[in-house]
Amino acid sequence: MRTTTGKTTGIPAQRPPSETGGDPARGRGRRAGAPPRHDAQRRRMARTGWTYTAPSLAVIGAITLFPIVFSLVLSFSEVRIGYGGFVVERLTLDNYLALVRSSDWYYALGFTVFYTVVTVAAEVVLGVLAALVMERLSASRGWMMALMLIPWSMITVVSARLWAYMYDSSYGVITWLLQNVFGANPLILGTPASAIGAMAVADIWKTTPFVAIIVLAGLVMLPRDVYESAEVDGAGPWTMFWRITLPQLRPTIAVAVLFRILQAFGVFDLPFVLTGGGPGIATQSLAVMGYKVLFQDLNIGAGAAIATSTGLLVAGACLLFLKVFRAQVGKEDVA
Amino acid sequence: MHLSRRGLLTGGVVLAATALAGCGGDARPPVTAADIAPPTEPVTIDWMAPELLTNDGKDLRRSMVRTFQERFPEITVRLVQVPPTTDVRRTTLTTQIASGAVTPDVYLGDCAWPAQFAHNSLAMPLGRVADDEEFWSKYPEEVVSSISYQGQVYAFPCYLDLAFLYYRADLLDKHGLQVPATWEELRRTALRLIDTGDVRYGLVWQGMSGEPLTCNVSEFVADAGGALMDPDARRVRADSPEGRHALTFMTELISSGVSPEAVGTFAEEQTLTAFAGGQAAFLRNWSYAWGSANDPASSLVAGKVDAVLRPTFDGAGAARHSTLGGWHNFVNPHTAHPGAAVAFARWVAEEEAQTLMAATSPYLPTLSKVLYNPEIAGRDKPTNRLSADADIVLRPFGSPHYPAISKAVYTGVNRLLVDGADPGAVGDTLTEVARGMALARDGVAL
Amino acid sequence: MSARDRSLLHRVFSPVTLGAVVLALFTALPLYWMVVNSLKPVTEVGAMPPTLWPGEVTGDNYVSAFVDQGFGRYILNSLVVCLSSTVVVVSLATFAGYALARTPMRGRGPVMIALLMVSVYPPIAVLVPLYVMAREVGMLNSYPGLIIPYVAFNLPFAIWIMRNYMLAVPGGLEDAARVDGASATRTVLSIILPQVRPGVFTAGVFTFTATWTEFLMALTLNSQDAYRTIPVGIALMGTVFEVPYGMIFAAAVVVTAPIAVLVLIFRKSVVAGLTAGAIKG
Repeated sequence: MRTTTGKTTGIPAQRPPSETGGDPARGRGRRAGAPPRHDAQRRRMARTGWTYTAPSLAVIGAITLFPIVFSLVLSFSEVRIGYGGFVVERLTLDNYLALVRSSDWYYALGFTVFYTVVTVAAEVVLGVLAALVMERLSASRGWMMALMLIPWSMITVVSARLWAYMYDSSYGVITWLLQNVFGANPLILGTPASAIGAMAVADIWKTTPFVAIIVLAGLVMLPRDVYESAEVDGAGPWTMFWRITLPQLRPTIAVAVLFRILQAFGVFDLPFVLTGGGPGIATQSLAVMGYKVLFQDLNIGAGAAIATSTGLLVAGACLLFLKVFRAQVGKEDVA
Repeated sequence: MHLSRRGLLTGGVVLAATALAGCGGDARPPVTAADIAPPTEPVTIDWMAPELLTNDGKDLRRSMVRTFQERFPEITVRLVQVPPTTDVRRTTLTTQIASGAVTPDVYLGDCAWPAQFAHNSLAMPLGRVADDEEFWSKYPEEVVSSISYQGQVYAFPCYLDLAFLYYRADLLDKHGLQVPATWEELRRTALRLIDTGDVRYGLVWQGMSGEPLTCNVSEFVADAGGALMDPDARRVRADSPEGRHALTFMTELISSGVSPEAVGTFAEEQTLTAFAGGQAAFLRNWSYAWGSANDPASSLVAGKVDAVLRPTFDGAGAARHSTLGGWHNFVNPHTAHPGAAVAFARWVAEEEAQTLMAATSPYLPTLSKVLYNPEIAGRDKPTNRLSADADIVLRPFGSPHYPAISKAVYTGVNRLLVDGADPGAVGDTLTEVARGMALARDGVAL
Repeated sequence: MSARDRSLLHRVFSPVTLGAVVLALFTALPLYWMVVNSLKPVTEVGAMPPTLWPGEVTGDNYVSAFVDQGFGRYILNSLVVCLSSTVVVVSLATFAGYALARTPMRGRGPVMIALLMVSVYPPIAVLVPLYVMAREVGMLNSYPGLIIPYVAFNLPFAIWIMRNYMLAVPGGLEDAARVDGASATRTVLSIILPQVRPGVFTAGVFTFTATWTEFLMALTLNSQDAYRTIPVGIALMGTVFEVPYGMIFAAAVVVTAPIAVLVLIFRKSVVAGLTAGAIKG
């Protein structure tokens, strides 16, 4: 790690002779030298901190920050694949022009936002309901949790193929149920609206448990006495839920929501395996579109433009959320 | 992988920067005579090809490989699994070859790929082989042009695909009707058959948002006497009276009830299911459908089916149009065994393999001599016989941006079909399609 | 309807029981369907109407997944990649988390925010550069080629988790060790680490699950059969003519069951970890 070496050799006088290896331990120096002043120790500790952090930051920087910048450059380039690697033919704004002129991109953006809002909202509502139910269970709560953790720990590709089988128009069990119980004759994955709905259901099945378990933990930690005094005041269960439970759960729910929004915005595995983005482009998320433009159309520059703009949107949304969340929490602390 | 982490990081950064600067080393000369000399030592090559079924449901790939190895005992050919759908197959293939992987040595690819793959160095230019004029004169000119890009040939022909009109011969006989020679006549005949209650639909074709729709549109526009684009893929001609004629007719097929509303969601598979299930009187599909529609195990109409070349519009002359489809063998430019790879790909294109294919499978051979020889294919299979008379419609494969051009066509037309198939919206659709195609041609479309 | 009527109604129908049953069924039925269909003969998997229980229970799908398809190879690949990534991530995150929680190093705030941003950045946005870098160093279709990006992308979140656990450890502990003359590294390993064992477990579970289920990078970086991980193997199973669902579910059961059993055994710590990671984060 270059960073590490640079930092330590910068202050050779403070290095005990025993420390020649990669061991960044420096606390030992205390006995050898004179009793250090407080800030000398602080400085040493700060250096230790950087030493400990440097390897992680180096890996993260090289494998994530560098590609983020690289991708940004690619998005302004006309690129093709040569025998020896990628070849940048020229720098250009065409990729972004293509983006803003493409009705497919607007659709993918709209779809991704819509899908994110709908699934996250559904997952939060259902997750809170599930948590409320689970909180009132006694002996079976542990088993219920274990059951709900299975979808959460499942590989998305596996659950996508499972749902694809159940939705299949010729031998899917859900198709069969709809035909025989409701008398409908659906092409579940063949028409845009039902394909989007089908995809949302598969997502909700897999991810609601995550929200439910986080909310449940929040519920369990709520102070009991508030409820008791409310009950004395004659408040019904709904009033207590809206007036007491929900407001107190807000920070917990907010965290779960943030996680889910960021995940849902990058959704790829599920549409790629379940619908291939179809029918047409009905379930084509930004990530699926980016992947197809990159590796199917081999339009590297434009693909990088899709990818980079998606990344910036996510990062922006995250920053905005943090700001709002902090302001919110801050206000509550004061009140 | 004995790289230290630091070496790796610095190396990664430096090399990525190099690639970014465009010094990735782009030179891969076309194959030379030395490259393609068949090997004298035993070698093993990988062939990536989707399953090809013979007439009796066996794997044609295996019988080809077996016969090849009798001729070239020193070359072992291994079959590589391919992903299930064409799109996923293409992405795994491109990521793999663009990564510099030496395998698969040979892969079977769509006839729409050569320009895009050549532009991106994913296929070996067959320079030396391509100079051999005598070799190429044995194949239909359109096939050779579809696998060429900027004067180089990039694939060895394997099988070609043409579109036919399949029809229920039994129903036409029963009601004393003629095989329609024009689209207008087909529409009348289809409506009569629907009225009799023998079928639910008249004609089924591929209207799903995807490449097959581009083929259908290209054919109808050709029937009307026009073209979507010039053959050299420069001038866009979609927004024309011929284009209007074609799209108007397609929307009227749906609004008049000749084709089902769901045709906008149909790919080859759904149309074949509808036809083989006895629901449709006419089917536009590729040559493989002959075998499937006549297979008693999967078809209710086996033995009641016949095929002709597609009709044309009233007063449009005698031309019978079909888009050219097909799959051909490309050689991986990074292969470690160019000699063996070329030997195999070339052998598949030559008489022995082509005869084997024609005699045992529904695929149309590319070698003219075999394709047009009814003795080999069997007289009861009309598709081979008919293909000599087909007027081939070439999609604008010459552009490396062909996928984007095609996407502009099929997304625009599909929207027209599923949004109520309103003939009044044809003009707007054509304007939008033409605009999209022009952007795609210039490389500024997604 | 008055509030009193409503609560009476609720008591009669016992919404909790009802909710619990619905919840359990909604969660369990798809899982049941997966297991049952992995045990059906090929023809029955495609039968209409579907059969609720196999007419004849068979292990054929398992045989074809593992013997014909060589699915064991994908499991091995996944285990190698995911276990290595998890070990590296947890070790690096322990020290980085310690530093960010318990040393006065400058720039902690910006580093934490930067880590958070990186951990949410969508993988699609860095896929091509990663691909180019891996190609240039010859790491496409190799284990390290997948392990290194997995480490980089899962490290930020693991550091957050470890930092949060480290913050909760009482402050005096290191001082006592320091007086005894222990090195900083030894202090972390022998004093702090035992205190944050649940944190290590949480970070480990998260990293392992994330890498075990990851699809996009594995699909792009390791597309060759010999290096495919489970998600890629399952996604690409099938031919042009048929989707072998029985075989896919057989493979799916084999890779899901051990995780389910582990989750069952470590239920309490997983839940604690899941919630601690999320709530404190």
